[in-house]
Amino acid sequence: MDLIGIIEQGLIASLAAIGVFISFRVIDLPDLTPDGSYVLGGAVSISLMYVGVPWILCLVFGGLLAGFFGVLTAIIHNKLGVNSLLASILIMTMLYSINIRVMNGPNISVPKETAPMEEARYTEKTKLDDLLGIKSSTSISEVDTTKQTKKTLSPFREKSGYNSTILISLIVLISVFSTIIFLRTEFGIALRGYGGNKEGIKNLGINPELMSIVGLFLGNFYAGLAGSLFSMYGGFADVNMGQGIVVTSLAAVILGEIIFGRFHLFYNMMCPVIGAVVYQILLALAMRYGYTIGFQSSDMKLVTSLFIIIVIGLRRVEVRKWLNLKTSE
Amino acid sequence: MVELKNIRVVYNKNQTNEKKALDGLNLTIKKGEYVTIIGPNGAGKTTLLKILTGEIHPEEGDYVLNGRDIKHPKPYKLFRNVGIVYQEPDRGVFPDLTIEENLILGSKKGNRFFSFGKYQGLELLKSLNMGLEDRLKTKVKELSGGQKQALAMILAAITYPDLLLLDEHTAALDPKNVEKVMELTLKINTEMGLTILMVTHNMKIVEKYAKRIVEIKEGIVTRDFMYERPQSQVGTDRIRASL
Repeated sequence: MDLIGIIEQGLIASLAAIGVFISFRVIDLPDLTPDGSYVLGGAVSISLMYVGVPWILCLVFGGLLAGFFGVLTAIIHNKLGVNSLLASILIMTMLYSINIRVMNGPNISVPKETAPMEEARYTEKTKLDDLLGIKSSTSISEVDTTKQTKKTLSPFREKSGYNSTILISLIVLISVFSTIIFLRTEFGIALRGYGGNKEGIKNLGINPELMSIVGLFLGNFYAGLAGSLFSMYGGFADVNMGQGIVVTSLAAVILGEIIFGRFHLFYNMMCPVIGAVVYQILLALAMRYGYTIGFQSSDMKLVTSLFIIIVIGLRRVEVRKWLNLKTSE
Repeated sequence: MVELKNIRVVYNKNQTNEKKALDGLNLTIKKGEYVTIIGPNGAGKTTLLKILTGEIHPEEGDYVLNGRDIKHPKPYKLFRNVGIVYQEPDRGVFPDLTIEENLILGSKKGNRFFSFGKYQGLELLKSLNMGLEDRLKTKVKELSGGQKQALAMILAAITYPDLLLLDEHTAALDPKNVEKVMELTLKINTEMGLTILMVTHNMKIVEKYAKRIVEIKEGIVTRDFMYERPQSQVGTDRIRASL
Protein backbone atom coordinates (compact mmCIF):
# COMPACT_ATOMS: atom_id res chain seq x y z
CA MET A 1 0.00 0.00 0.00
CA ASP A 2 1.39 3.40 -1.02
CA LEU A 3 1.09 5.49 2.16
CA ILE A 4 2.22 8.68 0.41
CA GLY A 5 -0.49 8.22 -2.23
CA ILE A 6 -3.14 7.69 0.47
CA ILE A 7 -2.02 10.85 2.30
CA GLU A 8 -2.07 12.80 -0.96
CA GLN A 9 -5.64 11.67 -1.66
CA GLY A 10 -6.56 12.51 1.94
CA LEU A 11 -5.14 16.01 1.55
CA ILE A 12 -7.12 16.56 -1.67
CA ALA A 13 -10.28 15.33 0.08
CA SER A 14 -9.49 17.70 2.97
CA LEU A 15 -10.20 20.68 0.70
CA ALA A 16 -13.76 19.42 0.18
CA ALA A 17 -13.94 18.79 3.94
CA ILE A 18 -12.91 22.43 4.57
CA GLY A 19 -15.81 23.47 2.30
CA VAL A 20 -18.26 21.27 4.20
CA PHE A 21 -16.80 22.55 7.50
CA ILE A 22 -17.53 26.15 6.43
CA SER A 23 -21.13 25.46 5.44
CA PHE A 24 -22.05 23.04 8.24
CA ARG A 25 -19.98 24.39 11.12
CA VAL A 26 -19.01 28.02 10.47
CA ILE A 27 -22.25 29.40 8.99
CA ASP A 28 -24.49 26.49 10.05
CA LEU A 29 -26.31 26.20 6.71
CA PRO A 30 -26.53 22.54 5.64
CA ASP A 31 -25.55 22.44 1.96
CA LEU A 32 -25.51 19.49 -0.46
CA THR A 33 -24.36 21.56 -3.45
CA PRO A 34 -20.77 20.19 -3.13
CA ASP A 35 -22.00 16.82 -4.51
CA GLY A 36 -22.37 18.68 -7.83
CA SER A 37 -19.90 21.54 -7.46
CA TYR A 38 -17.05 19.09 -6.73
CA VAL A 39 -17.61 17.53 -10.18
CA LEU A 40 -18.05 20.96 -11.76
CA GLY A 41 -14.63 22.02 -10.46
CA GLY A 42 -13.03 18.98 -12.11
CA ALA A 43 -15.03 19.33 -15.34
CA VAL A 44 -14.24 23.02 -15.74
CA SER A 45 -10.55 22.74 -14.94
CA ILE A 46 -9.95 19.81 -17.32
CA SER A 47 -11.97 21.51 -20.08
CA LEU A 48 -9.84 24.64 -19.62
CA MET A 49 -6.67 22.56 -19.84
CA TYR A 50 -7.70 21.59 -23.37
CA VAL A 51 -7.67 25.25 -24.41
CA GLY A 52 -4.25 25.85 -22.92
CA VAL A 53 -5.09 27.72 -19.70
CA PRO A 54 -2.27 27.27 -17.13
CA TRP A 55 -3.12 24.52 -14.63
CA ILE A 56 -3.05 26.85 -11.62
CA LEU A 57 -5.66 29.09 -13.27
CA CYS A 58 -7.70 26.00 -14.18
CA LEU A 59 -7.79 25.14 -10.47
CA VAL A 60 -8.85 28.66 -9.51
CA PHE A 61 -11.54 28.88 -12.24
CA GLY A 62 -12.85 25.44 -11.27
CA GLY A 63 -13.19 26.63 -7.67
CA LEU A 64 -14.71 30.00 -8.60
CA LEU A 65 -17.38 28.49 -10.84
CA ALA A 66 -18.23 25.92 -8.17
CA GLY A 67 -18.46 28.80 -5.68
CA PHE A 68 -20.85 30.61 -8.02
CA PHE A 69 -23.30 27.69 -7.71
CA GLY A 70 -22.99 27.99 -3.92
CA VAL A 71 -24.07 31.62 -4.35
CA LEU A 72 -27.09 30.42 -6.39
CA THR A 73 -28.06 28.05 -3.55
CA ALA A 74 -27.83 30.95 -1.09
CA ILE A 75 -29.95 33.21 -3.30
CA ILE A 76 -32.69 30.55 -3.66
CA HIS A 77 -32.57 30.03 0.11
CA ASN A 78 -32.77 33.77 0.87
CA LYS A 79 -35.05 35.14 -1.80
CA LEU A 80 -37.51 32.25 -2.22
CA GLY A 81 -37.45 31.24 1.44
CA VAL A 82 -36.55 27.65 0.50
CA ASN A 83 -34.78 25.57 3.15
CA SER A 84 -31.03 25.57 2.41
CA LEU A 85 -30.99 21.77 2.15
CA LEU A 86 -33.75 21.72 -0.48
CA ALA A 87 -32.21 24.67 -2.35
CA SER A 88 -28.88 22.82 -2.48
CA ILE A 89 -30.56 19.59 -3.70
CA LEU A 90 -32.13 21.60 -6.56
CA ILE A 91 -28.77 23.11 -7.54
CA MET A 92 -27.01 19.76 -7.16
CA THR A 93 -29.55 18.13 -9.51
CA MET A 94 -29.13 21.01 -11.95
CA LEU A 95 -25.36 20.56 -11.84
CA TYR A 96 -25.62 16.93 -13.00
CA SER A 97 -26.85 18.12 -16.42
CA ILE A 98 -24.51 21.13 -16.48
CA ASN A 99 -21.48 18.93 -15.73
CA ILE A 100 -22.30 16.63 -18.66
CA ARG A 101 -22.60 19.73 -20.88
CA VAL A 102 -19.26 21.08 -19.65
CA MET A 103 -17.49 17.76 -20.23
CA ASN A 104 -19.44 17.11 -23.45
CA GLY A 105 -20.12 13.64 -22.07
CA PRO A 106 -20.28 11.79 -18.76
CA ASN A 107 -16.52 12.01 -18.25
CA ILE A 108 -13.39 13.66 -19.52
CA SER A 109 -9.71 12.80 -19.19
CA VAL A 110 -6.82 15.20 -18.78
CA PRO A 111 -4.91 16.08 -21.97
CA LYS A 112 -2.30 13.44 -22.71
CA GLU A 113 1.34 14.00 -23.48
CA THR A 114 1.13 12.84 -27.13
CA ALA A 115 3.36 13.98 -29.92
CA PRO A 116 1.57 15.74 -32.81
CA MET A 117 2.52 12.88 -35.16
CA GLU A 118 1.05 10.28 -32.80
CA GLU A 119 -2.08 12.36 -32.33
CA ALA A 120 -2.51 12.69 -36.08
CA ARG A 121 -2.28 8.90 -36.40
CA TYR A 122 -5.41 8.56 -34.26
CA THR A 123 -7.30 11.13 -36.29
CA GLU A 124 -5.95 10.08 -39.69
CA LYS A 125 -8.42 9.40 -42.44
CA THR A 126 -9.37 5.71 -42.67
CA LYS A 127 -11.06 3.62 -45.32
CA LEU A 128 -14.22 3.65 -43.19
CA ASP A 129 -14.17 7.45 -43.30
CA ASP A 130 -14.11 7.22 -47.10
CA LEU A 131 -17.08 4.86 -47.10
CA LEU A 132 -19.07 7.08 -44.70
CA GLY A 133 -17.93 10.27 -46.39
CA ILE A 134 -16.30 11.69 -43.24
CA LYS A 135 -13.52 14.24 -43.74
CA SER A 136 -10.53 13.86 -41.43
CA SER A 137 -9.29 17.06 -39.86
CA THR A 138 -5.62 16.12 -40.20
CA SER A 139 -3.47 13.76 -42.13
CA ILE A 140 0.08 12.73 -41.30
CA SER A 141 1.45 14.60 -44.29
CA GLU A 142 -0.11 17.86 -43.01
CA VAL A 143 1.31 17.57 -39.48
CA ASP A 144 3.90 20.11 -38.52
CA THR A 145 5.98 18.16 -36.04
CA THR A 146 7.74 21.26 -34.76
CA LYS A 147 4.46 22.84 -33.69
CA GLN A 148 3.86 22.63 -29.92
CA THR A 149 0.47 21.55 -28.65
CA LYS A 150 -1.60 24.28 -26.94
CA LYS A 151 -3.04 21.91 -24.35
CA THR A 152 -2.02 22.23 -20.71
CA LEU A 153 -0.67 19.08 -19.16
CA SER A 154 -1.41 17.92 -15.63
CA PRO A 155 1.17 18.91 -13.01
CA PHE A 156 0.78 15.40 -11.57
CA ARG A 157 2.04 13.55 -14.66
CA GLU A 158 5.44 11.91 -14.57
CA LYS A 159 8.34 14.16 -15.56
CA SER A 160 6.24 17.26 -14.86
CA GLY A 161 8.98 18.60 -12.61
CA TYR A 162 6.61 18.91 -9.64
CA ASN A 163 6.60 16.76 -6.54
CA SER A 164 2.92 15.88 -6.13
CA THR A 165 3.07 15.57 -2.31
CA ILE A 166 4.68 19.00 -1.91
CA LEU A 167 2.32 20.57 -4.44
CA ILE A 168 -0.84 19.22 -2.80
CA SER A 169 0.43 20.03 0.71
CA LEU A 170 1.22 23.58 -0.38
CA ILE A 171 -2.27 24.11 -1.85
CA VAL A 172 -3.88 22.72 1.33
CA LEU A 173 -1.64 24.83 3.60
CA ILE A 174 -2.41 28.03 1.66
CA SER A 175 -6.14 27.19 1.80
CA VAL A 176 -6.12 26.48 5.54
CA PHE A 177 -4.10 29.53 6.57
CA SER A 178 -5.86 31.97 4.24
CA THR A 179 -9.20 30.71 5.64
CA ILE A 180 -7.98 31.11 9.24
CA ILE A 181 -6.79 34.66 8.49
CA PHE A 182 -10.08 35.49 6.74
CA LEU A 183 -12.17 34.13 9.62
CA ARG A 184 -10.22 36.32 12.05
CA THR A 185 -11.00 39.52 10.13
CA GLU A 186 -14.00 41.64 11.11
CA PHE A 187 -15.98 40.20 8.20
CA GLY A 188 -14.91 36.69 9.18
CA ILE A 189 -16.05 37.29 12.76
CA ALA A 190 -19.42 38.42 11.39
CA LEU A 191 -19.58 35.22 9.32
CA ARG A 192 -18.88 33.08 12.40
CA GLY A 193 -21.35 35.15 14.39
CA TYR A 194 -23.98 34.46 11.72
CA GLY A 195 -23.44 30.73 12.18
CA GLY A 196 -24.07 30.96 15.92
CA ASN A 197 -26.90 33.50 15.96
CA LYS A 198 -28.54 34.51 12.67
CA GLU A 199 -31.10 36.73 14.38
CA GLY A 200 -28.37 38.48 16.37
CA ILE A 201 -26.51 39.41 13.18
CA LYS A 202 -29.67 40.97 11.73
CA ASN A 203 -30.24 42.85 14.98
CA LEU A 204 -26.82 44.47 14.64
CA GLY A 205 -27.78 45.83 11.22
CA ILE A 206 -25.59 43.36 9.31
CA ASN A 207 -27.12 41.89 6.14
CA PRO A 208 -27.65 38.18 6.95
CA GLU A 209 -28.21 37.32 3.27
CA LEU A 210 -24.70 38.53 2.45
CA MET A 211 -23.31 36.25 5.15
CA SER A 212 -25.04 33.17 3.70
CA ILE A 213 -23.91 34.09 0.17
CA VAL A 214 -20.25 34.50 1.18
CA GLY A 215 -20.34 31.36 3.36
CA LEU A 216 -21.82 29.12 0.68
CA PHE A 217 -19.53 30.62 -1.95
CA LEU A 218 -16.51 29.69 0.16
CA GLY A 219 -17.87 26.23 0.97
CA ASN A 220 -18.40 25.40 -2.68
CA PHE A 221 -15.20 27.11 -3.80
CA TYR A 222 -13.24 24.61 -1.71
CA ALA A 223 -15.38 21.71 -2.95
CA GLY A 224 -14.70 22.83 -6.55
CA LEU A 225 -11.00 23.25 -5.81
CA ALA A 226 -10.90 19.70 -4.39
CA GLY A 227 -12.71 18.40 -7.50
CA SER A 228 -10.27 20.21 -9.79
CA LEU A 229 -7.25 18.92 -7.94
CA PHE A 230 -8.62 15.38 -7.76
CA SER A 231 -9.34 15.37 -11.50
CA MET A 232 -5.84 16.54 -12.36
CA TYR A 233 -4.38 14.04 -9.88
CA GLY A 234 -6.52 11.13 -11.04
CA GLY A 235 -6.38 12.11 -14.71
CA PHE A 236 -10.12 12.34 -15.27
CA ALA A 237 -13.40 13.91 -14.18
CA ASP A 238 -16.56 11.83 -14.02
CA VAL A 239 -20.14 13.01 -13.56
CA ASN A 240 -20.61 10.57 -10.65
CA MET A 241 -17.38 11.29 -8.79
CA GLY A 242 -19.05 13.78 -6.43
CA GLN A 243 -21.68 11.34 -5.21
CA GLY A 244 -21.62 11.28 -1.40
CA ILE A 245 -18.80 13.83 -1.13
CA VAL A 246 -20.75 15.83 1.49
CA VAL A 247 -21.28 12.77 3.68
CA THR A 248 -17.66 11.61 3.48
CA SER A 249 -16.43 15.17 4.11
CA LEU A 250 -18.75 15.47 7.09
CA ALA A 251 -17.37 12.17 8.40
CA ALA A 252 -13.86 13.61 7.98
CA VAL A 253 -14.83 16.78 9.91
CA ILE A 254 -16.36 14.70 12.71
CA LEU A 255 -13.29 12.44 12.83
CA GLY A 256 -11.11 15.53 13.11
CA GLU A 257 -13.29 16.90 15.90
CA ILE A 258 -12.95 13.62 17.80
CA ILE A 259 -9.16 13.98 17.51
CA PHE A 260 -8.89 17.73 18.19
CA GLY A 261 -12.10 18.66 20.01
CA ARG A 262 -13.77 22.00 19.22
CA PHE A 263 -11.78 24.62 21.05
CA HIS A 264 -9.88 27.21 19.09
CA LEU A 265 -10.30 28.47 15.53
CA PHE A 266 -6.86 27.15 14.50
CA TYR A 267 -7.58 23.64 15.80
CA ASN A 268 -11.08 23.78 14.36
CA MET A 269 -9.63 24.42 10.92
CA MET A 270 -7.25 21.48 11.32
CA CYS A 271 -10.20 19.13 11.97
CA PRO A 272 -11.22 18.71 8.30
CA VAL A 273 -7.59 18.28 7.18
CA ILE A 274 -6.51 15.70 9.74
CA GLY A 275 -9.96 14.06 9.63
CA ALA A 276 -9.82 13.64 5.85
CA VAL A 277 -6.34 12.09 5.94
CA VAL A 278 -7.33 9.71 8.75
CA TYR A 279 -10.54 8.84 6.88
CA GLN A 280 -8.53 8.05 3.74
CA ILE A 281 -6.19 5.80 5.72
CA LEU A 282 -9.16 3.98 7.28
CA LEU A 283 -10.69 3.63 3.81
CA ALA A 284 -7.48 2.10 2.45
CA LEU A 285 -7.22 -0.28 5.42
CA ALA A 286 -10.84 -1.33 4.97
CA MET A 287 -10.24 -2.05 1.29
CA ARG A 288 -6.98 -3.90 1.98
CA TYR A 289 -8.02 -6.06 4.92
CA GLY A 290 -11.80 -5.72 5.00
CA TYR A 291 -12.33 -8.79 2.81
CA THR A 292 -11.38 -11.01 5.77
CA ILE A 293 -14.68 -10.03 7.44
CA GLY A 294 -16.61 -10.01 4.17
CA PHE A 295 -16.30 -6.25 3.65
CA GLN A 296 -16.58 -4.92 0.10
CA SER A 297 -15.36 -1.51 -1.09
CA SER A 298 -18.96 -0.68 -2.00
CA ASP A 299 -19.87 -1.03 1.69
CA MET A 300 -17.77 2.05 2.56
CA LYS A 301 -20.62 4.54 2.13
CA LEU A 302 -22.87 2.43 4.36
CA VAL A 303 -20.16 2.34 7.03
CA THR A 304 -19.50 6.11 6.66
CA SER A 305 -23.16 7.00 7.17
CA LEU A 306 -23.43 4.62 10.11
CA PHE A 307 -20.29 6.21 11.59
CA ILE A 308 -21.84 9.72 11.39
CA ILE A 309 -25.10 8.50 12.95
CA ILE A 310 -23.22 6.75 15.78
CA VAL A 311 -21.02 9.82 16.51
CA ILE A 312 -24.04 12.16 16.57
CA GLY A 313 -25.84 9.65 18.77
CA LEU A 314 -22.90 9.40 21.16
CA ARG A 315 -22.73 13.18 21.40
CA ARG A 316 -26.38 13.26 22.39
CA VAL A 317 -25.82 10.90 25.28
CA GLU A 318 -22.73 12.92 26.21
CA VAL A 319 -20.36 9.97 26.22
CA ARG A 320 -17.45 12.37 26.70
CA LYS A 321 -18.81 13.22 30.14
CA TRP A 322 -19.05 9.53 31.00
CA LEU A 323 -15.45 9.11 29.99
CA ASN A 324 -14.50 12.25 31.98
CA LEU A 325 -12.96 13.87 28.90
CA LYS A 326 -12.55 17.63 29.08
CA THR A 327 -14.43 19.38 26.33
CA SER A 328 -15.67 22.88 25.67
CA GLU A 329 -18.79 21.65 23.90
CA MET B 1 -37.19 61.48 18.14
CA VAL B 2 -39.69 58.66 17.56
CA GLU B 3 -43.25 59.40 16.47
CA LEU B 4 -46.02 56.87 16.07
CA LYS B 5 -49.20 58.42 14.68
CA ASN B 6 -52.53 56.63 14.63
CA ILE B 7 -50.98 53.17 14.21
CA ARG B 8 -53.43 50.39 13.39
CA VAL B 9 -52.54 46.71 13.13
CA VAL B 10 -55.11 43.99 12.52
CA TYR B 11 -54.27 40.30 12.66
CA ASN B 12 -56.25 37.77 10.54
CA LYS B 13 -58.07 40.53 8.69
CA ASN B 14 -61.52 39.66 7.27
CA GLN B 15 -61.47 36.31 9.05
CA THR B 16 -63.64 35.08 11.88
CA ASN B 17 -60.74 35.39 14.34
CA GLU B 18 -59.87 38.98 13.30
CA LYS B 19 -58.05 40.84 16.10
CA LYS B 20 -57.15 44.50 16.41
CA ALA B 21 -53.69 44.47 17.97
CA LEU B 22 -53.14 48.24 17.78
CA ASP B 23 -56.14 50.50 17.31
CA GLY B 24 -54.94 54.00 16.55
CA LEU B 25 -51.94 54.16 18.88
CA ASN B 26 -50.16 57.50 19.25
CA LEU B 27 -46.81 57.83 20.98
CA THR B 28 -43.98 60.36 20.84
CA ILE B 29 -40.59 59.70 22.43
CA LYS B 30 -38.04 62.49 22.66
CA LYS B 31 -34.32 61.93 22.19
CA GLY B 32 -32.65 60.63 25.35
CA GLU B 33 -35.92 59.65 27.04
CA TYR B 34 -36.36 56.48 29.06
CA VAL B 35 -39.89 55.15 28.53
CA THR B 36 -41.35 52.13 30.30
CA ILE B 37 -44.27 50.40 28.60
CA ILE B 38 -46.65 48.43 30.80
CA GLY B 39 -49.95 46.70 30.14
CA PRO B 40 -51.72 43.34 30.39
CA ASN B 41 -51.04 40.40 28.08
CA GLY B 42 -52.55 40.94 24.63
CA ALA B 43 -52.55 44.73 25.03
CA GLY B 44 -50.36 45.23 21.95
CA LYS B 45 -46.90 45.67 23.52
CA THR B 46 -45.20 43.02 21.39
CA THR B 47 -46.91 44.31 18.25
CA LEU B 48 -45.62 47.79 19.08
CA LEU B 49 -42.05 46.42 19.29
CA LYS B 50 -42.52 44.59 15.97
CA ILE B 51 -43.61 47.84 14.34
CA LEU B 52 -40.59 49.67 15.74
CA THR B 53 -38.17 47.00 14.46
CA GLY B 54 -39.84 46.85 11.05
CA GLU B 55 -40.84 43.23 11.51
CA ILE B 56 -44.47 44.08 10.66
CA HIS B 57 -45.98 47.08 8.92
CA PRO B 58 -49.10 48.89 10.17
CA GLU B 59 -52.35 48.86 8.20
CA GLU B 60 -52.61 52.58 8.86
CA GLY B 61 -50.56 55.29 10.50
CA ASP B 62 -47.07 56.72 10.34
CA TYR B 63 -43.82 55.68 11.97
CA VAL B 64 -41.30 58.51 11.96
CA LEU B 65 -37.77 57.92 13.28
CA ASN B 66 -35.56 61.01 13.56
CA GLY B 67 -37.63 62.82 10.95
CA ARG B 68 -37.51 59.87 8.55
CA ASP B 69 -40.80 58.25 7.55
CA ILE B 70 -40.28 54.51 7.88
CA LYS B 71 -42.12 52.65 5.14
CA HIS B 72 -41.45 48.96 4.48
CA PRO B 73 -37.76 48.98 5.40
CA LYS B 74 -35.53 45.93 5.20
CA PRO B 75 -35.45 44.86 8.88
CA TYR B 76 -31.64 44.53 8.98
CA LYS B 77 -31.30 48.10 7.66
CA LEU B 78 -33.72 49.44 10.28
CA PHE B 79 -31.68 47.63 12.94
CA ARG B 80 -28.84 50.04 12.13
CA ASN B 81 -30.98 52.66 13.86
CA VAL B 82 -32.98 50.52 16.26
CA GLY B 83 -31.34 48.15 18.76
CA ILE B 84 -33.17 45.44 20.67
CA VAL B 85 -32.48 43.20 23.65
CA TYR B 86 -34.81 40.25 24.17
CA GLN B 87 -35.82 38.28 27.24
CA GLU B 88 -33.61 35.30 26.33
CA PRO B 89 -29.90 36.16 26.86
CA ASP B 90 -28.76 33.86 24.01
CA ARG B 91 -30.66 35.88 21.39
CA GLY B 92 -28.47 38.93 21.78
CA VAL B 93 -24.97 37.42 21.89
CA PHE B 94 -22.82 35.18 19.71
CA PRO B 95 -22.10 32.04 21.76
CA ASP B 96 -19.24 30.61 19.68
CA LEU B 97 -17.28 33.88 19.64
CA THR B 98 -15.16 35.30 22.45
CA ILE B 99 -16.26 38.33 24.49
CA GLU B 100 -13.76 40.46 22.56
CA GLU B 101 -15.09 39.22 19.18
CA ASN B 102 -18.62 39.97 20.37
CA LEU B 103 -17.55 43.54 21.14
CA ILE B 104 -15.96 43.84 17.69
CA LEU B 105 -19.25 42.70 16.12
CA GLY B 106 -21.21 45.07 18.34
CA SER B 107 -19.10 47.97 17.18
CA LYS B 108 -20.21 47.28 13.62
CA LYS B 109 -22.85 49.63 12.33
CA GLY B 110 -24.09 48.52 8.95
CA ASN B 111 -21.05 48.13 6.76
CA ARG B 112 -18.77 50.21 8.94
CA PHE B 113 -16.75 49.31 12.00
CA PHE B 114 -15.95 52.06 14.41
CA SER B 115 -13.31 51.51 17.06
CA PHE B 116 -15.02 53.92 19.47
CA GLY B 117 -17.80 51.35 19.86
CA LYS B 118 -15.34 48.71 21.06
CA TYR B 119 -13.73 51.18 23.48
CA GLN B 120 -17.14 52.15 24.86
CA GLY B 121 -17.99 48.45 25.16
CA LEU B 122 -14.89 47.81 27.25
CA GLU B 123 -15.73 50.76 29.51
CA LEU B 124 -19.25 49.41 30.05
CA LEU B 125 -17.85 45.92 30.74
CA LYS B 126 -15.58 47.37 33.44
CA SER B 127 -18.45 49.30 35.02
CA LEU B 128 -20.42 46.05 35.44
CA ASN B 129 -17.93 44.66 38.01
CA MET B 130 -18.56 41.15 36.73
CA GLY B 131 -14.89 40.57 35.90
CA LEU B 132 -15.69 40.17 32.21
CA GLU B 133 -13.04 42.70 31.13
CA ASP B 134 -10.37 40.21 32.28
CA ARG B 135 -11.93 37.35 30.34
CA LEU B 136 -11.99 38.86 26.86
CA LYS B 137 -10.74 35.62 25.24
CA THR B 138 -13.46 33.52 26.91
CA LYS B 139 -16.17 32.13 24.66
CA VAL B 140 -19.55 33.64 25.44
CA LYS B 141 -21.23 30.22 25.71
CA GLU B 142 -19.24 29.73 28.92
CA LEU B 143 -20.85 32.78 30.60
CA SER B 144 -23.87 32.75 32.93
CA GLY B 145 -27.29 34.00 31.82
CA GLY B 146 -26.84 37.33 33.65
CA GLN B 147 -23.41 37.89 32.13
CA LYS B 148 -24.73 37.08 28.66
CA GLN B 149 -27.64 39.49 29.05
CA ALA B 150 -25.33 42.28 30.26
CA LEU B 151 -23.13 41.64 27.22
CA ALA B 152 -26.21 41.65 24.95
CA MET B 153 -27.13 45.07 26.41
CA ILE B 154 -23.63 46.38 25.73
CA LEU B 155 -23.62 45.04 22.16
CA ALA B 156 -26.95 46.70 21.45
CA ALA B 157 -25.82 49.97 23.04
CA ILE B 158 -22.43 50.39 21.38
CA THR B 159 -23.97 50.54 17.92
CA TYR B 160 -25.41 53.87 19.20
CA PRO B 161 -28.96 53.21 17.94
CA ASP B 162 -31.47 56.06 17.71
CA LEU B 163 -33.82 53.88 19.76
CA LEU B 164 -32.95 50.97 22.06
CA LEU B 165 -35.79 48.51 22.70
CA LEU B 166 -35.76 46.27 25.77
CA ASP B 167 -38.29 43.45 25.55
CA GLU B 168 -38.64 42.19 29.16
CA HIS B 169 -34.88 41.92 29.20
CA THR B 170 -34.67 41.08 32.91
CA ALA B 171 -37.44 38.45 32.97
CA ALA B 172 -35.07 35.46 32.82
CA LEU B 173 -32.58 36.77 35.40
CA ASP B 174 -32.17 36.24 39.13
CA PRO B 175 -32.66 39.31 41.41
CA LYS B 176 -28.93 40.04 41.73
CA ASN B 177 -28.46 40.08 37.97
CA VAL B 178 -31.69 42.06 37.48
CA GLU B 179 -30.12 44.79 39.62
CA LYS B 180 -26.88 44.83 37.62
CA VAL B 181 -28.60 44.80 34.23
CA MET B 182 -31.00 47.58 35.29
CA GLU B 183 -28.13 49.73 36.55
CA LEU B 184 -26.44 49.18 33.20
CA THR B 185 -29.69 50.20 31.50
CA LEU B 186 -29.78 53.49 33.42
CA LYS B 187 -26.10 54.10 32.69
CA ILE B 188 -26.69 53.61 28.96
CA ASN B 189 -29.57 56.08 29.14
CA THR B 190 -27.96 58.76 31.27
CA GLU B 191 -24.28 58.57 30.33
CA MET B 192 -24.53 57.54 26.66
CA GLY B 193 -27.73 59.51 26.12
CA LEU B 194 -29.51 56.68 24.30
CA THR B 195 -33.29 56.75 23.91
CA ILE B 196 -34.74 53.64 25.59
CA LEU B 197 -38.14 51.99 25.33
CA MET B 198 -38.52 49.18 27.84
CA VAL B 199 -41.40 46.70 28.01
CA THR B 200 -41.86 44.97 31.35
CA HIS B 201 -44.35 43.16 33.54
CA ASN B 202 -42.14 43.48 36.61
CA MET B 203 -43.70 46.18 38.82
CA LYS B 204 -40.70 46.19 41.18
CA ILE B 205 -38.55 47.35 38.27
CA VAL B 206 -41.13 49.95 37.32
CA GLU B 207 -41.20 51.33 40.86
CA LYS B 208 -37.44 51.42 41.21
CA TYR B 209 -36.24 52.55 37.79
CA ALA B 210 -39.06 53.98 35.64
CA LYS B 211 -39.04 57.63 34.57
CA ARG B 212 -41.87 57.94 32.07
CA ILE B 213 -44.55 55.27 32.14
CA VAL B 214 -46.86 54.50 29.21
CA GLU B 215 -49.72 52.09 29.75
CA ILE B 216 -51.22 50.29 26.75
CA LYS B 217 -54.58 48.53 26.84
CA GLU B 218 -56.52 47.09 23.91
CA GLY B 219 -54.18 48.62 21.36
CA ILE B 220 -54.18 52.23 22.55
CA VAL B 221 -52.27 54.34 25.06
CA THR B 222 -54.47 54.61 28.14
CA ARG B 223 -52.04 56.46 30.42
CA ASP B 224 -48.82 58.38 29.83
CA PHE B 225 -47.14 60.12 32.76
CA MET B 226 -43.79 60.99 34.36
CA TYR B 227 -43.23 58.81 37.40
CA GLU B 228 -42.30 60.60 40.58
CA ARG B 229 -40.69 58.13 42.91
CA PRO B 230 -42.52 58.10 46.30
CA GLN B 231 -40.49 58.67 49.47
CA SER B 232 -42.47 56.34 51.77
CA GLN B 233 -43.86 52.78 51.73
CA VAL B 234 -47.41 54.23 51.82
CA GLY B 235 -46.64 56.13 48.65
CA THR B 236 -45.17 53.00 47.06
CA ASP B 237 -48.29 51.00 47.91
CA ARG B 238 -50.51 53.75 46.46
CA ILE B 239 -48.53 53.83 43.21
CA ARG B 240 -48.52 50.04 42.98
CA ALA B 241 -52.30 50.00 43.44
CA SER B 242 -52.74 52.65 40.76
CA LEU B 243 -50.54 50.71 38.31
